[in-house]
Parts: sequence; structure tokens; C-alpha cells
Amino acid sequence: MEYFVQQLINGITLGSIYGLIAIGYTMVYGIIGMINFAHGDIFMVGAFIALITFLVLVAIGITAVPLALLIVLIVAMALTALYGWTVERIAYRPLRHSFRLAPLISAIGISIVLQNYVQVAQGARVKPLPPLIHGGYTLFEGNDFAVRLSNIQVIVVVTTLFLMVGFSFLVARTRLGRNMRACEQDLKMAALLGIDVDRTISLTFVIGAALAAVAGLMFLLYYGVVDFFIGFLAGVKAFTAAVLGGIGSLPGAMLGGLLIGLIETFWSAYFSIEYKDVAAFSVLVVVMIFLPTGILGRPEIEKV
Amino acid sequence: MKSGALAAIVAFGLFSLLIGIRTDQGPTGALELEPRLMALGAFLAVAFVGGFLRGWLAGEPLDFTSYLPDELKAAATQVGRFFGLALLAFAIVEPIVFYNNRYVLDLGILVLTYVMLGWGLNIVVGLAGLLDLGYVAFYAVGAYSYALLAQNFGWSFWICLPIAGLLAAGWGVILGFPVLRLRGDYLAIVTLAFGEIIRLVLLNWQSFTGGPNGVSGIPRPSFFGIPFTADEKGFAATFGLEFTPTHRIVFLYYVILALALLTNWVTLRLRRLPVGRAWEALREDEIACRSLCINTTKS
Repeated sequence: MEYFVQQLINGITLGSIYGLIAIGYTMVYGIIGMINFAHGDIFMVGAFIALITFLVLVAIGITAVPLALLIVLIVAMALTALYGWTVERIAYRPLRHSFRLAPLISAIGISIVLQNYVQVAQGARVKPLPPLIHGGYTLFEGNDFAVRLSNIQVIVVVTTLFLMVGFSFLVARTRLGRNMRACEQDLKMAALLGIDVDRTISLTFVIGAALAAVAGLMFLLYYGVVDFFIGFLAGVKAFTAAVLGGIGSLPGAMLGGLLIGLIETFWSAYFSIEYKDVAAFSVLVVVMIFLPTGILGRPEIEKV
Repeated sequence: MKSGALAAIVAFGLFSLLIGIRTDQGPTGALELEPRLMALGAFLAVAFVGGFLRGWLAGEPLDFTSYLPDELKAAATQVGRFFGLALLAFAIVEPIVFYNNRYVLDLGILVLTYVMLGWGLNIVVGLAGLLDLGYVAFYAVGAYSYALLAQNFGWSFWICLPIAGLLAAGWGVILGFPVLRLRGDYLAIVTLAFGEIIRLVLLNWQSFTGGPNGVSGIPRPSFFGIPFTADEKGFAATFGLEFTPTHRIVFLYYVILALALLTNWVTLRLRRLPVGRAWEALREDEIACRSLCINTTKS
């Protein structure tokens, strides 16, 4: 029982990270119907930027953890958003009127470019970061197993909740959110009604990248090591999460993220840990075959 | 000028941390920083020049061929027709010319392997328009099938090769079954997932596939039963040639060349058959296909 509760806590934490990345996937798919393969690698770039900013802050003498975290958060979000914007301008916007699969292939290319760029620029070895946030609470004990809730887990879940609420507010109440929803429903009509479609799409990518940066920072704090390949796996799992929850739906992305996090944690706890990625991929295949619109998604009518 | 400066500023934002600073593990195990201002400066300079050129050439067509004279273009078209045949002749003659140069032969075999993979993928993606990202999983299945069959049963090269091909094709059918109803993007993702699943299973199933160590000690291929050894029963003695170890490599080269050309010929013939035409129609417009009663799943 205690083991189960501990895995539940771990799963929710991991799921929050996946959920943040999944929001990026789902937003971009909703607005231009394209799966942004490079989003996982944007997450990886965000994690690296956070790592380097931490080290720079330590080198220039800012060691107070809350202040450092705040500065790193702002810098990582800003610079990763810049990466997201650049990728969209270079690789996706010129192909907007091309055949359907062209942006997808371009996204695969950008994914490879980003991975190799970080691999060459920073080296292929894993980069460790000493743990910054210590401590936690022991919730309860029993059967020689103490269920622990660490501070970093609390921070991850609280930050994710906060960002989710803020983001839902953005989409539901602000003008930008209204533009995004309009573009999602009918791109041409939105353009005819005077919405700056290019800017809206760029801002969608930018916000998605900023959220991925937060996820990268959380990943860095939680696991303590980053390398250039974490983007690929996290990206596919987050995409699975987005599809599971219903692609195009924001609460679906978060729900899917939590589910995938829980599935992965429980699989590695109760079955075998080597095949945990296989479990995630298999879930993707099963969902695609039997439930392509996901749990909270809208059925897609393909018009001639 | 302005676009150059803008490009340089964006480049600074992008590259200042990841290129400007290098992190490496120092002697204590913690990460140490090492500034790389020269590299950062180079990137900024390139971005500036690129932005500048973009602002300068804005509005001018980048069609370089429009500046060439017409006679040159006509001559180039004539040469182009013979170019393909000339390259094919070179491919056939190459191992004879370079028969002692192991490096060139190995490179040729590698190139031909990729050519064959590419032509195979052309059938799926080019003809039918199904973006299959997990295609190399079949490459892995074929390679492992051949290796495990040759190692465990000791059959000769010419028996194992077709069986490995059939097994890979069988896997293709099994994996293709569930995904046949999906379109475009979803198909790409599912095939990518299948590719990854096969990779992870092959890597982790140590008792069957040897895990990360792989399969070693695979017996060498023979020339229709005559082994490529230096003794009297070997290939060199039978045909009256002097023995060099590269005979086996040359043999493999010709096998792959023949198989690749076979793939190409099959592709060209398939395009003329009704199946091929159905694939091409499928690629262009799936809904129109369905309304014309072509069974998309069976295709």
C-alpha cells in the first residue's frame, strides 16, 4: 500500500512534466494541424539553457536558491521562446502552403538539427547538476517503507498547476486566446476577419516553447542530469500524452500527461523497468488504433 | 543593414549560452564553465552577413539558372541523359578496377546498401504516399534474422538470405495490419513508435538477440558453395586466380548491386500494374480513391 502511494506521487510528478510538454504539441496541432516533432528537442534545449544559466549564476556569485531559480526561470523561458520562434520562422512558415507532410518532415529535420547542435556544442556526455532543493516530508510509514513527498515534487506540481490555471485564463479570456481559438476553428476565415494569423501562430509556438522550458527546468531539478537525447524520448511520450488526452484539447493534454506519467511509473514499479519505454510506445499505438481522437478530443470530420 | 543587425541580435539570444559557454566535467566531477567567445563571434558574424544579404536581395528572384545562356542548358540536358548510364557502367566496373582497395570496396557496399534501402522506402513513401518512419525496423529484423539463422542453424548464405527477407516482409504485414486505417500524420507517428519498440526489444532481449553485444561469429558467405579461403578447395584455386581476401568483398558487392537493380526494376514494373496505379492514386487523394471504389486498406 505504501509502495503504491509512493509510486502515485512519483507518477503525478512525472506526469506534470509530460503534461507541460504535451500542451505545446496540442496547441500547435490545434492551430495549424501539424505535429511539431521538434518540440521535444525544444524541451531539451530549455533544460540545457537552464543548466548553463544556473552555472553562470553560481560563477558570478548569486547562490541564494529562490532568487537563482527565479532568474533561471525567466531567462530559460525567454531564450527557449526565442528558439521556438526561430524554428517556426525558418522551418515551418515557408512550408505552410506546401503539401501536407512537408512541415512534418521539416520538423523531423529540425529535431535532428537541434540534437546534433547541442551534442556538438556541449559534448555528448551527460551533464550533472548538484541537487539544489533538499528536504521533504515523510507522509506516513508502514511495512518498513516510508512514503516521502520531497520538496522538489511539491514545487513541480504546484508550478504546473499555476501555469495551467494561467494558461487556461489566457486562452479563455484574453484577446490572444480568442485569436488562437478562432484560428483553430477556421484559419482562412480568421484571416479574412482581420486576425493577424502569422503573429498568432508565432505566439502559439512561443508560448508552447516557454512551457517546454519550464518543463525542462523541472526535469533538470528533479533528475539532476541532462544530455542531448532526453528530448526525443520525452517528446514521444508527451506526444502520446497529447494524443491520449485528445489532440487539440488543453485539459486533455494535461490529463494525458498525468496518465502517461502514472502508466510509466507503475509499469516500471510493478513489471520491468527496461521495457518502460516500450510500454509508453505501446500505449501510443493502442490509442491511435482504437481511439484516435483521444479521451477528451473532438471527432475529426475529413472534408473533401 | 537593419536586417543584419536584427539577425545578429536574434543569433545572440540563441547562441550566447549554448555556444558561448562550454560545460565540461572538471576534476571534482562538477561541471565547469569555459567561455568560447571566438565561436560565438563567428556565429554572430555569419548571422549578420546572412541578415544583411537577405535584406539586400529582398525581392530578387533566386533562380540562378535564368542567368545561363540557352545553348548551355540544352547541352547540359543532352549530357544528363548519358550520365545515368555512365554511372551505372562505373558501378559495375568499379570492383574490378579497385579490386585491391578494401576501403573503396567497403564504401561501395555501404553506398549500395543505403541505395537499396532508399529504393525500398521509395515504394512505400514515393509510390503509395504512406510516410513510414519505422522502415529501418524491418532492416534490423532482416539483419537479425539472417544472423540468428546463420549462427544457430548453420545454413548457407543463399538459403538464409531469402528467408530473412521473407521474415522481414512478414513482420511488415503484421505491423501494417493495425495501422492501415490511419492517415498521414498518425501513420507517421505509429510507424515511428513501432520502429522504436522493435529497437528497444532487440536491445533488451539479451537471451535471444545478445542485447547490446549483438550477434557475433556469423559464418562468412560462400560463392554458391565454394568457400572463399586460401586453400585448394577455395574460390581462388578453382578459378585459377591469385588469392586475395578482397574476393569475398567483391562478391558481396556484386550481390548487392544485383539486388538493388532488381529492386529498381521491380519498382518500375509495379508502377505499370494496376496495384501500382492504385498506390499512386492513393498518394494523391485518398478520399477520391475511396469514392472510386479502390479498397484503400487492401492496397
